[in-house]
Amino acid sequence: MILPVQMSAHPKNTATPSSAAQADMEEVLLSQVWVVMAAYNESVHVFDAVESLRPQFNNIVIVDDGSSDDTYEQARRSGANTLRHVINRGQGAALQTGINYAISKGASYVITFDSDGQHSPQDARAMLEHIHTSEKLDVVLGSRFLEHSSAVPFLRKLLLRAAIIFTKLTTGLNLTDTHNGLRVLTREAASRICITMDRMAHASQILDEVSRLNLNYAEFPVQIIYTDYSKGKGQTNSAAFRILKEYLLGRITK
Amino acid sequence: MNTFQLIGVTGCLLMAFISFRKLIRSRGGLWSQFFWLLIWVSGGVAIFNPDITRQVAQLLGITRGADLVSYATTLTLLAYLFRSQIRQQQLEQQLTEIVRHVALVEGRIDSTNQTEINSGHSS
Repeated sequence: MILPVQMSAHPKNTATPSSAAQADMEEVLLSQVWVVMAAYNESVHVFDAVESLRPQFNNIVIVDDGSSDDTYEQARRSGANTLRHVINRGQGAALQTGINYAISKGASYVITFDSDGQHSPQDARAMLEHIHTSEKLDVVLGSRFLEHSSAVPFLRKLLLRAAIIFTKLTTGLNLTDTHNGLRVLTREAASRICITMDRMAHASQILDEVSRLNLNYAEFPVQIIYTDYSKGKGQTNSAAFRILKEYLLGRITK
Repeated sequence: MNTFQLIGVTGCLLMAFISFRKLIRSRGGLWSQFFWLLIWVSGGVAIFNPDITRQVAQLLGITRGADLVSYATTLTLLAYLFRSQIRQQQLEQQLTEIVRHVALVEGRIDSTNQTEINSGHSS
């Protein structure tokens, strides 16, 4: 039975971790956690994205999804593990490639993290601590609506609300944010989830997989940092219909 | 039989023969070849005896034979288009598998080379 837990960022009655638990956590962070980032024409931001993660995470893999700029070179310059799709296949495909790589490297936890600067490394760290200390959770999903901390454009918010209803109908999952790229997965969950929808419908497919595999999940409040750059790079509102078509076709051919 | 019927029936018989050969040799998918065999035989019969389309149409509650042919053609094309979309999706997935495999192999080679370079520097 899946019991979704919508946690606040400041849970009550939380005891201060002992130094042993803290040391254990640090060891996990340094050696067993892999951050997976898909990047497409992100030469402007990819280096900074890796640098922002460095204080928190050691193992970072970037999958260059057939970029036409020097994203791959910038990613290598950052010192991250870098893979390259010879042709563009889509964010979903790139994430699955990165997840496969992380699993092959012995990852105990896999974090999916956007490369356009919208996600906060501190949020990723907090989500990791949450899943590490819970011992029951398989997946922690970021949500920008749990604490209303992100300034989401109105029309985008409307479409995301529709996606929430759609997800509830198709998967039975009770979520407040169904298209957030910040996720933490245990090794077991990452190994079992299979992303076959290559493009933006992969976000819905991951939720399908969570439901199909009966994984224990929780949402965690995160902040999405909207900048002119990230808004320009992100999906247009009209892309929702293309994503829906991809999702429905993907379900038939899976 | 008029000229159009002669040409049409001959063409349909030829295509039906090709589909039948593929069917008995199990080439190109059994159901696919059986479907095309049915199409060519039906087409040939309809051209040879146009009145049969009226009779079948009336059995189905459709007034005119031409309307039946129109509906059947539209539905067949839609079904074929849908099947093509599915097939394209499957090919896209296969292409992604290949691209992923290349990326992971190159990543392993790169990782091995880096390890060797580091070993060389430290020794």
